[in-house]
Amino acid sequence: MSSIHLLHLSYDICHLSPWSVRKCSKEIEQRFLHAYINVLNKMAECVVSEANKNIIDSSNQSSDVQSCQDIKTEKVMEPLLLEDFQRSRFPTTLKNIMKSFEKQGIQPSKCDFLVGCLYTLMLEYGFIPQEKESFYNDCGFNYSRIKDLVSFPAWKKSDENSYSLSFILPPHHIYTCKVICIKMGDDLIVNAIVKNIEDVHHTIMLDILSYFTDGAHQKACMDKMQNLRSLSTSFKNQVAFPVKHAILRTNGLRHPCLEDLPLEIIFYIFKYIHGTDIIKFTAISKQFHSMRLEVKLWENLILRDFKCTVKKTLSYEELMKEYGYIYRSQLRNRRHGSWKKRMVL
Amino acid sequence: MPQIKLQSSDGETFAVDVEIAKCSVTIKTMLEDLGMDEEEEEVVPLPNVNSAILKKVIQWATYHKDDPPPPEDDENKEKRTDDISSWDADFLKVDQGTLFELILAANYLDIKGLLDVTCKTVANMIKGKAPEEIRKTFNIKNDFTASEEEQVRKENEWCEEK
Repeated sequence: MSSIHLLHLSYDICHLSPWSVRKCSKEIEQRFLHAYINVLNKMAECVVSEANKNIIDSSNQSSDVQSCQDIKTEKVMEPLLLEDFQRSRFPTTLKNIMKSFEKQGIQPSKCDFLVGCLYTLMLEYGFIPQEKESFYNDCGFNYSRIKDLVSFPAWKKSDENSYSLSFILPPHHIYTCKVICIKMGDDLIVNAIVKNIEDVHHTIMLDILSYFTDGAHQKACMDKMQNLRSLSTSFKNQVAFPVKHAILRTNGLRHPCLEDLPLEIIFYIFKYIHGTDIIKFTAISKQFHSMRLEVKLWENLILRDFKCTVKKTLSYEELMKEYGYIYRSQLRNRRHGSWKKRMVL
Repeated sequence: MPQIKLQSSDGETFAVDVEIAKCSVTIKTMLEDLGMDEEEEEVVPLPNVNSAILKKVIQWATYHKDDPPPPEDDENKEKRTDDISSWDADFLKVDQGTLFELILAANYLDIKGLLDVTCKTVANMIKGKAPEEIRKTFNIKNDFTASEEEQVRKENEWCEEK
């Protein structure tokens, strides 16, 4: 049983049990609750160790969970992701990119530095450099892992104007993701392809200078950066997300995307959408098309959008037709002035 | 102000004012039922939420801590999506993966205000778009056969009428 299940289970127990012990003495109740707090804390440790066990590289790892917790406490406002960048406070990852250049004795150009940022954004999405593939076995977001990996210079400049980066999304080793960056004038063209999955090819073009406040000829400097949030959003949406999506869906795995949202949340979103848009939405794939079969959905939509109550028992197709009929007559009547409510079908 | 510590799935710990943490009904119930003493330094583990998302949730809850409780839903009305505040709109200028993770976190932590505003954002990405545009927006594969697609297109024809 995973720790998530454990938490739910114990939470359920916690949720129920105080009622059953209400009648006992205060002291027993206290002891009872303390036992639960201990269970919860045990599980916290279990979660931490689960997060840590993925990292076999033990050099930076403390086996002592408690000390690990102390170090990590109270960093609410510390910038965590690259997109949290502010002129006054730099994310640790950005500082580490800079340090890794210094270590190699390289004075990075603006383009070098931008590629370093893209490398970090891939790490933020759970990818790891291919060279490290045997060290990790999950692709969940893990902040300490990102900080470790940023300093590892896993990308090479093939020549003056091109860079090649190889990633895997652990544990899916056979789907190597190659990110090729080519500098053309002031633009950086980024291409991503995935080995062993067809039709996965994503491209984005970045205007290098728009991410720096100073001119083209100065060397890259951390405090001259800007627009990292828009860099993060567009790169993740156009490259990292579709690549990760393709790899996980090919393996039949769920992840946070529209297709894997729980049904109750899709219906929650429907509250904000007119019936005609819901019909278009349910035409995008078989999975969403099957939501049309829900008779209750159409009864509710007819009531919500047209204030009509369905009294007869109708199939979903008949209800959809009925919805379309009322919609069209409403449109016509609006054109001709008046629209009389049909109260009952 | 008393604080509690929230721990993300990847082991990061965040100290948060209890009042802010309690905008999550899940955490509120957990604290009340456990009778957690605010003096004690208890750590609440949240194994479904990673640190990047937890930090955003805390940011959102901190900004909205003095908001009045959201009004009861009226099921019989299509709800508005054009009333997202400018702070929220800016806060939600994130990539899709993050947006969906925020929805799942808001659902798990039971934070209605955050669930509403994130779902509105997704609704706005769907509204007024043709099926092909929606597929493109969300990287969804068209898995209909040609004849199935033709049939769906026919079923859909009437809603193109303006």
